[in-house]
Amino acid sequence: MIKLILKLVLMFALVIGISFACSSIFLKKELLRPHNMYLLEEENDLLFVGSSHVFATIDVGYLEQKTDANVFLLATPSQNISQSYYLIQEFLKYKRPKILFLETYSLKEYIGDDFVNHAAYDGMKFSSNKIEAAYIASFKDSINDLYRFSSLMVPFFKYHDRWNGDLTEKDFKYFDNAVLNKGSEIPTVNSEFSPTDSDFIDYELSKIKEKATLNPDVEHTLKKIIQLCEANNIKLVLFSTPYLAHHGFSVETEVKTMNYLKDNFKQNDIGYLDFNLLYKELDINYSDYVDNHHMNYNGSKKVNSYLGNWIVDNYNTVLPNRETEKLWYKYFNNKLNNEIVFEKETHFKTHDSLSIEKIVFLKKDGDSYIIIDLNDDLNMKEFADNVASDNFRMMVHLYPKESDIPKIVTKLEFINQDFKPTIMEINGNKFLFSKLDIKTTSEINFFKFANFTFYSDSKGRGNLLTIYDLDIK
Amino acid sequence: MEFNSIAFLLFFPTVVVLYFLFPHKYRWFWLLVVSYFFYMMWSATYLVLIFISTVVTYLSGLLISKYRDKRKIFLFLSLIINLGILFFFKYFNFFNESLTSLYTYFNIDWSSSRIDVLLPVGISFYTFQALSYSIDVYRNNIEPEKHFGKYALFVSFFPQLVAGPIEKSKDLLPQFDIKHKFNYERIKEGLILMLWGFFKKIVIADRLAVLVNTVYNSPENYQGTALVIASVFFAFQIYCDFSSYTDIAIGAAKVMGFKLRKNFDRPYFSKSIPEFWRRWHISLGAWFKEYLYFPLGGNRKGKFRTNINIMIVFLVSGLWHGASWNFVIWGGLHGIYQVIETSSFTYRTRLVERLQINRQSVGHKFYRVMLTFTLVVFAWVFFRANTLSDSAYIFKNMFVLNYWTLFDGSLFSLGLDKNEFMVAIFSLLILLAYEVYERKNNLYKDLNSFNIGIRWSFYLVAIFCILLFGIYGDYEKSQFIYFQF
Repeated sequence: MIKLILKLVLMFALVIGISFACSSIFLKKELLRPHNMYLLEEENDLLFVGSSHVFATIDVGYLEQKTDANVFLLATPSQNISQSYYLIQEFLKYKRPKILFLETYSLKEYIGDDFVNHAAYDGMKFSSNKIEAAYIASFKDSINDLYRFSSLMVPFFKYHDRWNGDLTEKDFKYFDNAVLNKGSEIPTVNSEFSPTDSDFIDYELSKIKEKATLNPDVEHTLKKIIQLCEANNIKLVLFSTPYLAHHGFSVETEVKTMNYLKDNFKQNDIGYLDFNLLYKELDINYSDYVDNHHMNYNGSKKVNSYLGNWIVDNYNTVLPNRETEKLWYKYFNNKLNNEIVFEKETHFKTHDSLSIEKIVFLKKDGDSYIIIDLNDDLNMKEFADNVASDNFRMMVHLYPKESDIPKIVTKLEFINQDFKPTIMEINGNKFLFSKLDIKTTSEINFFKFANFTFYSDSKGRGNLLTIYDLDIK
Repeated sequence: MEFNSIAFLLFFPTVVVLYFLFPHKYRWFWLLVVSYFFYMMWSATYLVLIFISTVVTYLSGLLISKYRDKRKIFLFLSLIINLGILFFFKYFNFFNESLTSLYTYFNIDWSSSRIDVLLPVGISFYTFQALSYSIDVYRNNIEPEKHFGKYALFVSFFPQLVAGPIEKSKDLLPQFDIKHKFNYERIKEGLILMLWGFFKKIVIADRLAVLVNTVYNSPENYQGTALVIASVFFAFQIYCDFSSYTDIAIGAAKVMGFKLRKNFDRPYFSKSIPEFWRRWHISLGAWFKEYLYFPLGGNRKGKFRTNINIMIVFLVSGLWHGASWNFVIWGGLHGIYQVIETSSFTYRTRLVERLQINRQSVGHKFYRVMLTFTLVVFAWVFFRANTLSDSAYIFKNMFVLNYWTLFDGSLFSLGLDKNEFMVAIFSLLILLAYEVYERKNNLYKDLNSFNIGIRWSFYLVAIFCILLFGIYGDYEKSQFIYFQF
């Protein structure tokens, strides 16, 4: 009997082990946002936790420049409070932020559906924390879903059907070449947003004095987060981003929730920042939204501008000054602001050919190589003839050392594209032209300026410049 | 609890390990508890029905044995209560609706009422198994079981509780008294059989179901090839679905030392309809033969009565499968096949002799297998179609010639894309190859002749084929088809 049991246990271990190993391939890579916490090498000062409202609004680059602090977003789609709790726990294993911004939208529910669970936990490393998180997601309330639990622990069981044409080279190499993304995914395209009757800007929200009651599990978990912050000497800020939805967990409910929290957690040292009460002050209007829940680049600028000042005004003494660590970025930022932006605007407006020469100065200033990525189907000729196509985006990677290039290129995974990455020499400078397979999602944290987004990874190794023609008025 | 659930993958090892750890005298109790738990995972309420059926047949057995002169009364009571429960839960609405349609046709005023009850899972299976016990005691074929607990276990033994095989009490009951030792080879054999069952269910049956459901749920959108392919796929779907349950049931029982009867014997290799029924759902066929066909007189009362008896058995068998005229017609069609086949035997023999056809030739055998399969597929159309009008549409349109749809890509718009379709075909080839191989070989024994590396590689490949190509997860949970019977 022992012999058989041992064999069966060994077989079981092999099956689970192989399935676990396969999981890293079969995982949907676009749902691995939390994995970035493991790639973060720098210290963290400001941690933002919440839903897509957070990653679509909070501009890491801007806030880093404004506060001279290191910022990271631990945000996943429709993140709920239990997910926030376990993600914070996981983050605290590696980093100790000075201030934790927790979005109150996450208080809308305690348990989420399959998609949001996987979006929150697939990027989390295997640990007792993850087991607990998966257990809560699978066996709480009326949910009693063994399959959900096993697929959260071994995601291969969920994504096994990706064998059918959905796996790419990127899936096989993702973790070897993972690049830090500090979390901002601000929609840059001002798509036509037509609010419905139930999606409107309510300037009178500040008049709401009622309080919403919290689900006991939600409140209990919030208290656990508060305790966690207190135990780790982290300042907690409960905040909301502006949105328009007046149904489901409506913006009114969030205001009422905020009222409840302010009243019930008086004794705790918690900061509150409700952007839904600041519509007038920030001059927020419909053109600041990409849909009823998410701001676009314009709206994000307004929020981040206010948020940056608010942090400096209220928490300057708590945050370290990392200005000297960011000098290199600032050098490029100034260059971009002073020397490129204007020229670019001119060129884009006239739909003229790309003024590569204007970018080349970066090469002249140092030993950087410049890589330009195109994310639509322009070929090289079209690229040269008419740069500003609809929704055109260009990315420029700057690499201090030539030896970094192949690594970075592999990392960006230019696959399944008709347009092969091409290295060209223009005016004695080497350019790598390619296109990205992402549209509005940044792979690397970025600094934003007027019409430019300047990216850099945490190692200061690859830097990207993104130019959006639609931003240029 | 379904066999193809993670809950079962936790339940079964726990049951087995504790089963072997318990002293022999408590094992029946453990199995009874877990069998009731197994059923409770579907419906705790309907467990009452199993219990009633158990008590009624148990008492009838004792009373029949004790009061032989009144045995007919006790048997009648057992039959009426068990079949009454079955009728109420399964057939009441069907008969009511049929009567309403009949009265409406003749313009007779008739007010009918519907009962909104869910069909208890496996009710037809355990009712028939329990009834066979009452009848066997009545016929003096067996002694009544005195031990109520063991008898309750006979009715509710979890591996075969909801979809058979329908066991006879003389075969299963004595096994509860035997002390089954832990036997490494037997357990391994049982587990491999279960693995094969999971492959058939999760990889083949549930994949074929995608295409079958697409076509059969809106047949009016399809013609010709699509209807033919969906019907052929359904033939394999239902075979893989049902036989996989049997494999898992037999395998699970074998792990614990119990031997359940064979329920399928490569039925699609049958060369005639009677042979098909000797190879398909063998335990049900045997039940009807013993408890219905023989009491009706079998083939001892002349050709005409024999044919009538065959028709009765198949019509009842159709009704057993489901409360719908589709099932009755399906059963009736098989009855007609049988009657024609037996009645035309002499003429067909003469024709074969006149044409000097070698009955033993591969070509002739192949022709007979294909003919039998075609007839079976035709009958399955009634079984699977949602309504009689759907069946009529399918028959009318499946002969429309649009064979080019095999080549223009429209084949892959029936719910399975090209890759999925290829996996379906490849897995069917594996199924057929396995069945051909098993005809003269024993895969388990042959596998044992290889070294451990090859054996383990084989197991791992099989497991990962299921995990990778299986239809599970985000898809709608797929029950075994025969649970509804």
